[in-house]
Amino acid sequence: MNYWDLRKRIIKVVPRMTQLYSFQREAVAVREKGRKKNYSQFNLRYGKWRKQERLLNTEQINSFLELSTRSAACPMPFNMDIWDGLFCNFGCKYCYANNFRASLYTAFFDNSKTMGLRHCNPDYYKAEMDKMAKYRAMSKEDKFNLKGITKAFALEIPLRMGIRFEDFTRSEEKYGISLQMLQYLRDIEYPVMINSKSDLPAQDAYVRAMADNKAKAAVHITMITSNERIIKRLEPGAPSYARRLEALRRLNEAGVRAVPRIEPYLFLLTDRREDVEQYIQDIWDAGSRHITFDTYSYTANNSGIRQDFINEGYDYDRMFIAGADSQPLGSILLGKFMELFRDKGFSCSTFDLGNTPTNDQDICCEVEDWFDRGWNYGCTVMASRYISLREGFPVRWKDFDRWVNLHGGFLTDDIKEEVHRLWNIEGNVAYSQRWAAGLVPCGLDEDGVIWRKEDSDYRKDLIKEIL
Amino acid sequence: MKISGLVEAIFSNAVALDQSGGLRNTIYAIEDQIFILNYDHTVLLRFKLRSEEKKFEQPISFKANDYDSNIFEEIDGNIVFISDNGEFKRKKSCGTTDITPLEVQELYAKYAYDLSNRPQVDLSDKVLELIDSDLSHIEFSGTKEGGIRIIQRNIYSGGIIEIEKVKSPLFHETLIADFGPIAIKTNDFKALFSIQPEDEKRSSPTLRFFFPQINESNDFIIVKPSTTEKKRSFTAIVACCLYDEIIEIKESRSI
Repeated sequence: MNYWDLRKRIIKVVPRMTQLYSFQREAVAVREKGRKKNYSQFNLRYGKWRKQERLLNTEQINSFLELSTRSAACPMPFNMDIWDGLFCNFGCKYCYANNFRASLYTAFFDNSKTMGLRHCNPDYYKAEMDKMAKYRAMSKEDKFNLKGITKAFALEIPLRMGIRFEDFTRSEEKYGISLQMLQYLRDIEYPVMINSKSDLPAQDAYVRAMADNKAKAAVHITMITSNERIIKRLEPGAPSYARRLEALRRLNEAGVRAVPRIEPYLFLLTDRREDVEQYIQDIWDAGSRHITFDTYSYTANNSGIRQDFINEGYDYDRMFIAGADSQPLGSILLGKFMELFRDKGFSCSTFDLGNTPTNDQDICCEVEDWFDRGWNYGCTVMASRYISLREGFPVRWKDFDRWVNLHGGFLTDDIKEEVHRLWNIEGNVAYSQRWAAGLVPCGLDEDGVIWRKEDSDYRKDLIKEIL
Repeated sequence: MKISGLVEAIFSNAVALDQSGGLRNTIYAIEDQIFILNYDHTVLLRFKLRSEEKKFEQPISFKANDYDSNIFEEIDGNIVFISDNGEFKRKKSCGTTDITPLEVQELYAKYAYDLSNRPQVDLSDKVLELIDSDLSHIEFSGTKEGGIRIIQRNIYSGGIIEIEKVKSPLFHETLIADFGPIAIKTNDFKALFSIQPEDEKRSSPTLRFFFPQINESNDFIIVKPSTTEKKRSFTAIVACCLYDEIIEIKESRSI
């Protein structure tokens, strides 16, 4: 069954909503916590009114290199936060990051609503990273004994920009902070990968900073569909598809690995046949041969985001229930969708655990063949790949632990503990390799579950049952 | 104005539904009709007051969970609920709604029409014991020969729940035409049964569902209590969920 057959069947399983009366209402994706304004408290000791307020630094984000909170699952969890703000100007309807930031900032600070965009202190970054240069010069054994960001840096795991916030907005064009950091990474020959929805990284200065980096640079450009009308409705402040496509072409031509990214994959919205065929042709012509995907996150189950989709005239429930809420259904839909691209010659990978055994690369960002330094081997995506490679044979935690240690070891003890919990289907199991198609528990030992890759797929079994 | 016990019961019912998470409602009252429209605009309930009940000369509307007292008045566009405990008097002021009662009345008129061409099925609340509340939708279909078929598909862990009516030796329900498959959101379906008050004369509340025929251009279901002696007789218009390729939200079509 190919994607189009499956899609036809799934629409018979998850229906669309109709309304008696269409009506737009304000979408409140951002759940701001109420804080009193101009609040003063009478201080008995000093006998006077004192203003009570906690202020956020609106000019600068005090960030530094950090390991992602998803390090237990992600092979590339080394982040560099450059820009930040209460709201991203691109205003993507499906983005839930605004919600998290607003909830956090408005709960603890009195001035977050006036903050605009702020950026890191590049001088601080550079000075601190200069001090870390010694770690890269260490022996392999010494590097393996490090922990945390020093270890990630020593192993030269590619740094990622744009994970928490879009780093290539108009403010960046004006101030060039991300550019400074790209140039610094070029100067120290450190690998970097950008996630962006902007075409700014294709401007000459940025291209040069990346193309001249001897440790290499890659750019993920999020392009969820070729349909400009849908792009305009779902990503109203972001550059058009045509502009991003042109950026993709320019980056590829300049020798930067430019990977189109379909994340989130939105069932029935970004998968119209003519749009997909156009997309495939366009990105091939733009020189891309690698593409990465993911399903919509469960985290997006938010009443404000839902209302935003409804206000745009889209049935959020249908898209979300089929494509994300049901992990197996979303996973197999994405897997079949990826095959459309694979059939045309693209190398395809995804962070969706269900599909990791069939990814074309171990590194789901599709840069495994591009960078030649370090990765985070101690994570569940890698566990899924490791077990899959030993198809038919039982794989114990000890085997995986040994393999991880051969490649540098876990980044921290906490991450190791978390990966071990996920290995044993404990903790936040959304990120466990238990979802990987064909991976089945086949026994227990003193470390917990023993896994085996079999020629089975619980997702296909589910499809058979419900159709 | 002070409302009667019957109207208060209808309002309270809407509030209870709202708080139960089934239907998140807005209440509209105009003349001798009370409407409850849910948050997603997929269900519209209409209660018609008896002739001896006091009419709403001044149309009012408010969100169900704002309801605070059976005494209220409209002041400068706000609904003010007034209550007291003998010693203190409390006023709760809340805004009205975006749609006017007149617009909702017209909306109802657009959908309410002759039911004679619609396949109809009686379902008692015993059916709720058999459905899985964790699944988002309930699919309905029916044939003249086979009667109604209710299906839920578990897209999370697999399996299909199929429910059919047990044929009674005394009464055999036949459909005038085939219908479906169409679906109702599980929460909406459950909420419909909680509207109907307990009837001591019957073993369980029963609702009559009037489904659209196949290829009919009216994608909504009309629901009424199966008997008419109820004090709180109501009509519900429920927008269908459809199994086609469309992701855009459209209005259920009407004649």
